[in-house]
Amino acid sequence: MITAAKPVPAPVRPATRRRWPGQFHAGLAIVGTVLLLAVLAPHLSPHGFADQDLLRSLQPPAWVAGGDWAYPLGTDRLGRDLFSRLLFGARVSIAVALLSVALGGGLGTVFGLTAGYTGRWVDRIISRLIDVQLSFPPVFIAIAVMAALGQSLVKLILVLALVTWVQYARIARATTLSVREREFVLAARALGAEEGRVVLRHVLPSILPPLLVVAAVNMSNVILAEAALSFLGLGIQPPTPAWGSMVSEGRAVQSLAWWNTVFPGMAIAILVIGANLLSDGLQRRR
Amino acid sequence: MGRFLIQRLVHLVWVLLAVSILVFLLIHMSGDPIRLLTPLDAKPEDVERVRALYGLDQPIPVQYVRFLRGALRGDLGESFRYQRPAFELVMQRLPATALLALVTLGLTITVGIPVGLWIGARAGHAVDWVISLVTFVFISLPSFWLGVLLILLFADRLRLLPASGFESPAHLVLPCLTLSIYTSGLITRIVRADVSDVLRQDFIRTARAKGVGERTVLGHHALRNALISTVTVLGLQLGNLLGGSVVVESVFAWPGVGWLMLQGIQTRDLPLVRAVVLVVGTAFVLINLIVDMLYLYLDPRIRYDHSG
Amino acid sequence: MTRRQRHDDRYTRRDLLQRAAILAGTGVALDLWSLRAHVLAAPGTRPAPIGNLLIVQGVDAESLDPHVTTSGASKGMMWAMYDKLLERSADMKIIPWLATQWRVVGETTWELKLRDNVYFHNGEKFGAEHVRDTIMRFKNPGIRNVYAGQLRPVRDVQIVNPLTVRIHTDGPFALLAEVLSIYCEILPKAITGGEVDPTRRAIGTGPYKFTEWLPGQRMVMDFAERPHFSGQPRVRRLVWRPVSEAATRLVELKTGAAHLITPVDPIQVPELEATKNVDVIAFRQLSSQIVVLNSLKVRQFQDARVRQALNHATDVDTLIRTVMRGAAYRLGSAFGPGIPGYDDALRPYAFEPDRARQLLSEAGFRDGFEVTLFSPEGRYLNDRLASEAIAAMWTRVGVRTRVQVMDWSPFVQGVLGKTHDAFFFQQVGVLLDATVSINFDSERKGAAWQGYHNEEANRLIQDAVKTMDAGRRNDMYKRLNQIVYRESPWVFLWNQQGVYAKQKRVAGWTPHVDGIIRLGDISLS
Repeated sequence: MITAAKPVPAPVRPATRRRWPGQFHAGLAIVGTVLLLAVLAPHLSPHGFADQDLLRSLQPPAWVAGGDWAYPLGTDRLGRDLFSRLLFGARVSIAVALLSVALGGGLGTVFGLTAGYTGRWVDRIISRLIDVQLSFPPVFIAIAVMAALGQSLVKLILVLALVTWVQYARIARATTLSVREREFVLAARALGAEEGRVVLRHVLPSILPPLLVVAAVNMSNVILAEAALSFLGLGIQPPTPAWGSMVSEGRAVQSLAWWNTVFPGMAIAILVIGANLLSDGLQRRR
Repeated sequence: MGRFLIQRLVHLVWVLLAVSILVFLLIHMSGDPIRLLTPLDAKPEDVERVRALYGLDQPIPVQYVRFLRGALRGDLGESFRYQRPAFELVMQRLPATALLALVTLGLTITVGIPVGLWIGARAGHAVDWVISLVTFVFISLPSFWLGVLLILLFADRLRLLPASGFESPAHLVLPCLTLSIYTSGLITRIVRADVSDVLRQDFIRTARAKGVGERTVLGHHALRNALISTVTVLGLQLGNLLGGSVVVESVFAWPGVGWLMLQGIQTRDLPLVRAVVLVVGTAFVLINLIVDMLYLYLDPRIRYDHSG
Repeated sequence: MTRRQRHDDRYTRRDLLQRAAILAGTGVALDLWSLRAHVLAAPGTRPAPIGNLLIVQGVDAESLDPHVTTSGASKGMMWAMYDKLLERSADMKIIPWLATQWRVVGETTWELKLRDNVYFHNGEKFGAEHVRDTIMRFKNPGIRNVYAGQLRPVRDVQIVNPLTVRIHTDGPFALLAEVLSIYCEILPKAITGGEVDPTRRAIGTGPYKFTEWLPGQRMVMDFAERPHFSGQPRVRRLVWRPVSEAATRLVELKTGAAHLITPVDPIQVPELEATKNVDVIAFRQLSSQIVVLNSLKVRQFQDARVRQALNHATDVDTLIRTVMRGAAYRLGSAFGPGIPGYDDALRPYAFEPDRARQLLSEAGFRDGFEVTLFSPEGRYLNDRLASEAIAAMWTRVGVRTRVQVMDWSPFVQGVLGKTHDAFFFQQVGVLLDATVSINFDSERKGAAWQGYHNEEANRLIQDAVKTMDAGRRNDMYKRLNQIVYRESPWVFLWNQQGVYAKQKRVAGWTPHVDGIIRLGDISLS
């Protein structure tokens, strides 16, 4: 994309007025709130996420006739409180989002940096690896692997990390290649600093900004991927709730008990909006 | 150019090999396929006999070599469940997925690019804010949720459109709508960003000052850049589209390869999954190739770099 | 209630408005068509078949080769095109089909009289040769037929005349009639001779003939022009579609894109009952839900008193009322009604936790013990839910139970490998021998056998197969039932309610308790 040489004032509102644009703050607020809710879930939820009360099955939300404020968003077919399950489901979404981004990002950065900095056959091997994996649709692989290996939170995080690391590696490698030849790096090496220090103190900080952008964009993709996998029954093991599997469970009664499908989906959308705002904000912060 | 092509084809072979090994390992690692294929009330001797008939009693490396030899002859094995050549089953379902992808693509381009151009030229105005907000929401919605809601609204409540399957052209509407909402939202935003960036550039000011018509300004410069970005993003999105199609096909019982693969994995139908993965992998690489070529054509700077 | 009424009113108005579009789209504008059929039918004959019947099941057929298919859904499709020698009525009695009479001639020979004037869809006239060729093919080890062993005792098929065969068996094979009423669809020479590939084309003697199959998408059958001995089919065309989501099946039925759907998730029953033009049909399924106790792994289970205690500790009636929402029938016998040997005179285990504690104490386990209850996830209706409730009930009498939920594949490995302490299970079985009773036989060890050993039971099971007299055989199975029920290698729970839903326009059809669709006199009005 082409960057503007000189920002033209009106009628366009320049996005580069502040260092940290509004979107970033908004996104941070949303994601931060979800994180907080997730962490405090056991204290905030009125009921356990697995507590069944079959006599209360499919109770509507509190503001609809037949509802009850003790179960504010209604109940599912087993009489479990939807609000509590949403709170615990947030744990899965946030954990997967943050951990797989951290793991994938970490892996990708290490590999990309190594490839870019070391060069020669190390670079050739890693590049070939990146190329091969990039040639394959990521969500496809994730679905295949999770369907074959079975449900588990750890496997889910690992699989998503392994599927997304290439995106970081590619950028890390490219930026490392360009940074490697910059004056301050050459100077540091000429002065006799050992390679490790050079990498850590000079190269790494320079390549981090674009990587953070990738991480933010990646986060919203990962959240959607986890939701889709849970929806297909390939995510975490029940009875731990995940927003995607809650949508799936609600389908059998989607016509009569709409709250089971609507609220979990809204939760996913809100979190993704937050992640997207974050990445939007990061991208505009030039 | 020729070298480029050959390089990519070699690359394709690597990918296919890697992927076929991966699929093999996955299916075998995840439990005994025969047990899932045979009902619990079958006698043990019948189960063993059927296991031998499927060739599953051989050690894994032997099975893989057998597969390789067959593959070189064009035979990708027979589906365990359907007992028809797996390749044939995949090819029979491929058109439905391709149709879904093409119509979605078409919808995305015909809606996303014009709207993006339109609001890009009016960046900052009310119209821009509203549509930008709408597209922002569009790209944040989970596709399966959207699909379920659309079925609820259009099929269940309004009885306007069919809920599942592919029995008539009307059946295309909801699945394509589900996929298109995400992609057209994305493309609209990309095009808008590009257009508003381009329009701020100095040479545009000069052209305007010289009296060049707004339409030419938009049409010529902005559109070209928009197309480049669109192609780039669509190329990157291809992977997501394929993954998204698995989910959408599952929600709408759309008879495509995504759903076929899902069913194949759940029944541990190794030859079928392998065939889907290989065919889709090949298609993916070939499409990326086309995208790359398109890219070269559209962006003259890259073209110069290559021939230079 | 108010919501539902408002719901219905909305439907009526919208319904009328949108019906035309849907009807035209799916090509089911029947009123004109039926008028035409009545006008054209010659006086004195039945009216020509009319209409497209749209059936939506959860899964698709595995193959067009009937001998290879195993799922209930597949069988329903196959039996529209293929006939067996014998059939089952709605209450599972064996009835004549392609064979009109069957009797035992000596210990190792059965004689079957065949129906005359039956033709295959390709014109071949059905006769004794087809029976011989098909049975031999069914037993052929080169075919991927997992049920081939069912006819292993058959040595050869002798052709007495074109309409009579004698089947000679190795040793007495008392259950031949049962087997032939479930397995071994009769094939034409075109298939048994190898000329036609049965996975590509189906040619049978059934009331419908094969038109096309797009795997995973739809199977289409049209009425075979020749009248079928069961009565000419009333429907012109059958379209079978697989839709795996219960929610989607429901929507298809409501919008008229399906006329008959199965299976129906019981939680959808209230919505279906409130929908106009839809009927809900419930029946007691043949298969029962049980908890199997592994006495090979848990030594405490070797004592019958412990097993009985667990039966007394489980409040089945409450489980049926809450977990199954009333959609199940108490199983007070080792196997349910419809299976030979069923005895409704047996008294179900009463829910008596005190008695349970007493029995445990007598067996020497006053302080109880620990056990893990395994359950699959979502394989059987409310499996995990029921397991969790049962675990709580057992814990209350001192058998401290924790629940372990598993994916189907490892769960099955555990069942077969006999590594689960106890597990929630569904026991199927129309044929008593092959499926149900073998689970009690410590010599033959069926899939669900987990250590139960009773000499008399073994003897009864093995002798019954060789007892040619049906009455005596039934008595033996009854005795087996009494023994097994008293010794309770399982905790006996319930038979689930099976649910179908159909449009009111679909008439003349009743479900069979084994859950397989047999079309019979089905018609579309």
